[in-house]
Amino acid sequence: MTGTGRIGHLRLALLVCAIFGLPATAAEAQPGGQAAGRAEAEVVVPINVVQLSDLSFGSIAANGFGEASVKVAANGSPPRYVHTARSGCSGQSECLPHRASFGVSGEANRDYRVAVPSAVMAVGARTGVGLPVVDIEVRGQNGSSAIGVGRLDNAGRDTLFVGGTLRVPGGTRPDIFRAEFSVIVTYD
Amino acid sequence: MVRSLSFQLKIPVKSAILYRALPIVFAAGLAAAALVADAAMAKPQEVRVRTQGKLSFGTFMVFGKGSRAVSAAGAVADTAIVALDGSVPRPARFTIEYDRGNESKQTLEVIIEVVISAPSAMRVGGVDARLSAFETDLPGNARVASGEAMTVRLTDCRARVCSRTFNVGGRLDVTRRFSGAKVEIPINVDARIVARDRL
Repeated sequence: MTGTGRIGHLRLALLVCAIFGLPATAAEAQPGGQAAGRAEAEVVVPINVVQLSDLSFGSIAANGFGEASVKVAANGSPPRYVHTARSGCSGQSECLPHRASFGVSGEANRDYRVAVPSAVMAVGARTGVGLPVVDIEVRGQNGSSAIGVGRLDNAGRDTLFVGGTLRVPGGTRPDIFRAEFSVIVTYD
Repeated sequence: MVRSLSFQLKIPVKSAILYRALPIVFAAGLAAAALVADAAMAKPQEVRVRTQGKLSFGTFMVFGKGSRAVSAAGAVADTAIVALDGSVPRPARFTIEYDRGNESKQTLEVIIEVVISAPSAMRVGGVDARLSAFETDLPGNARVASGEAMTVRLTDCRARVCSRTFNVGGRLDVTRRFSGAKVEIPINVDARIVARDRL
């Protein structure tokens, strides 16, 4: 009888171990994990500039003695005639001085930088004489605190104005003077 | 008058054996309880994936079609786009963690299968974007396609948690029909244990 009891205990112990051993085997399953990342990019509309009007110093009358100059401001203020320079326009729109204007378009609410030459030379069509245009300046309609920086509005648009100062040396003969310059806009 | 009472306690033989076996049963119970407690404290092994950083293609301008590739090391290659100041291009960063679930110091070698998957194309406003050509700095997995399984081997793992951090680069093709867009494409990383060997 005693021997039967020991065998019974052994069976009991084996049974206990077998029962509690099962979860340890189940824990050997192959679990996995995952995570979510992302890729991102900001794709920006290309900035574009289109010429709307030329910078014109209009018709100028100078007495031929001493240097004269005409300043056309980018901010739209009236032209300023210095020394012997006078306006030679009697009111027709085609001979009135005015600043140049450019339409700028691109990504809404982004700043852009404008590059223009600081000076160019206007050449007379008949005489070939050169007159310097100096102090070329730019100003965006939307305004910006920094020089040479514009800002596109909510629709991604701005108008850019360019002004400068034409110097007319004494003894300059009558002519039509013309110069070309490039305006380069880039996102700031 | 005195009556004497007498009685005899009779214990059946089977019950007597049971009483003698009580300490053994108790010990077995304790052992079983210890096993249960041990099983409760030792968590099952698991693998976790942590996102450490996004895959950034930065800020750029594109006229029609263009692409930018960011390598696992962070090198940038552009085609027909103009880079702009803004967010800095950099590869994504993920960490795979293996937790053995107990404090055993047994040295392990764990092999984990990792799958990177992302939608192949997305449209945001007037911009179509396609993410492809994943690159990683995992040995043997320099280039991997979305949905393709990679193998990460954690060798000489002695700590409870062993990990491997890796970078993921890729290529973004962009077609801009109109407007600009901030493109966000989800990247999922799945990992599972495929083998665990004791060394």
